[in-house]
Amino acid sequence: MPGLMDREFLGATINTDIRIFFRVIGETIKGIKRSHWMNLVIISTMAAILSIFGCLFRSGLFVSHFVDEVGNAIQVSVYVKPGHDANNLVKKFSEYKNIEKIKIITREEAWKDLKTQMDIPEINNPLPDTIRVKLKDKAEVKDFIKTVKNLNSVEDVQYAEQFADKVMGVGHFINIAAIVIVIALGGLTFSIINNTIHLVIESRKKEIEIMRMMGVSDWYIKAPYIFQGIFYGFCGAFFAVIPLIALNSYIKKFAELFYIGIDANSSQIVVLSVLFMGIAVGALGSIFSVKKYLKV
Amino acid sequence: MIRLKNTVKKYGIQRALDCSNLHIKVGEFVFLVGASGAGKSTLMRLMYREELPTRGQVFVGGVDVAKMHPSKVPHLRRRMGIVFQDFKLLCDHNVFDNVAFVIRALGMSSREIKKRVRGALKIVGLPDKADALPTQLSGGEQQRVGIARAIVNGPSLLIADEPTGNLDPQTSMEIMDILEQVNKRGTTVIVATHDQIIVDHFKKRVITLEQGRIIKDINAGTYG
Ligand SMILES: Nc1ncnc2c1ncn2[C@@H]1O[C@H](COP(=O)(O)OP(=O)(O)O)[C@@H](O)[C@H]1O
Ligand SMILES: [Mg+2]
Repeated sequence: MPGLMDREFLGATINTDIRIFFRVIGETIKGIKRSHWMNLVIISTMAAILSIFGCLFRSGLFVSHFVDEVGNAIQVSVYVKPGHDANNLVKKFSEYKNIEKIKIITREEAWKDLKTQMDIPEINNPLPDTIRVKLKDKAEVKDFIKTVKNLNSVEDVQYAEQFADKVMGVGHFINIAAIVIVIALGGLTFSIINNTIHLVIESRKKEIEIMRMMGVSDWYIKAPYIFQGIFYGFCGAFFAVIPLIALNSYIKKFAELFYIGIDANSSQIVVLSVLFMGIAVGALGSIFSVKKYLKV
Repeated sequence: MIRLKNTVKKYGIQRALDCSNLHIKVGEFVFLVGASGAGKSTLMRLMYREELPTRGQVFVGGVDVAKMHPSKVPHLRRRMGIVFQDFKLLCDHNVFDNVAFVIRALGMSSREIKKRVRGALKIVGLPDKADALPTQLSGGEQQRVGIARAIVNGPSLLIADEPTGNLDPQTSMEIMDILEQVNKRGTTVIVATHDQIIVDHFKKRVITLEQGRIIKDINAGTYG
């Protein structure tokens, strides 16, 4: 029989814990209701900041995607000296680890192409054979060009160097700016939640004191304030997603203009980040506040 | 129920309490008397561990609360009821909620809560005031709510610090009658007061404090 007794006892405590949990949620809801106008202020402020964070993040991701696409489109054109075989050169290039794509455009093909684009009189084809090389890593381009230029079967090498440098610089800047902005906005939202919960605790000092005296447990007193902070973070993030949807459709249009694909996963990544940041900052801000101002 | 041994409480250099030996048995009714500043509240705060003694031990129900881990303090307080001079009610909650929140936080079922709150309100003579707000009640009624809250979890010890300090003589006597009823149901009751009429009327054990020391401790005693 003791086994049965144990099980019943266990069942009773589990029921109790579940009830306590739901009552803490109930206390949270009551607490939020009692904060009436403040809820609006906090949630809209959080939504504004989180949407700025989300939009910047989304734009940053798109720009670096854009930079990647454009950067990838930049290829090195190697012009083959007349009388040399392009295929031999290609074989040589293949030893180079960093090559992503390589393609021979014979002088005949190039000439035909040119003639379809322009009205050219019937003269001898002046074009050389061309090898188009796309490298995996843009940083390796300069090295590659140097090596290739010295080969005696190569007439000339062409590469849009300045443009590529600029594009890479922009990408780099955006990455750094994104980190700085995330830290700054994270700090801002954290202090908003932290101060809000501090205010709420301050306004309920008397009530908290009474509950303490009556033997209400630590967690039952504290948890509603933490949940309230999480609620603000979540609601702020929820409303911050709306401008993100609008921004995403803009980005789509912009991408179509440039004939590049949209960065498929970025939108979801950004929405999840905004939600995560809202909830995490809400939890952390209120936990710090409770730890600091609600000493039990 | 309560035992103090060589217990000293100092605030800075001031000795608020200096008690070499005190024993209160289970089921007793004790008056704690003495002028303002004699150390009555300090002694009570040591019992519910709102203060820690500077030196010595404070046993409550066999446990030295001075050595108790802070996380265990709520458990200690759940087994006692505390009644304050200024009632300390939640002013934006009705009477029912003021009494219920303690056992609600313990995860008791709603049915059990209702039963217990009704029972407690009946004992203090407020069976019809469950929906009233504290501001709609007289001082005496508010203190009855305070007592209902203190007894709703069936404590073995009830500590009342000047429970009638804000009430007129007639109401004070009614409140004391309720506390005597609570004692008759088996709860140990300790009441701090400097109301001579009350102390003389009930003829209980009287412990007199003066400048933090127990100067008199007599059964069926009177004030002074
Ligand atoms: N928190 C405190 N800080 C400093 N001194 C205190 C504090 N609480 C009480 N005292 C002092 O301790 C002495 C006893 O106070 P108290 O226990 O409140 O007396 P009583 O309740 O009998 O009026 C008084 O002299 C009072 O000034
Ligand atoms: Mg006092």
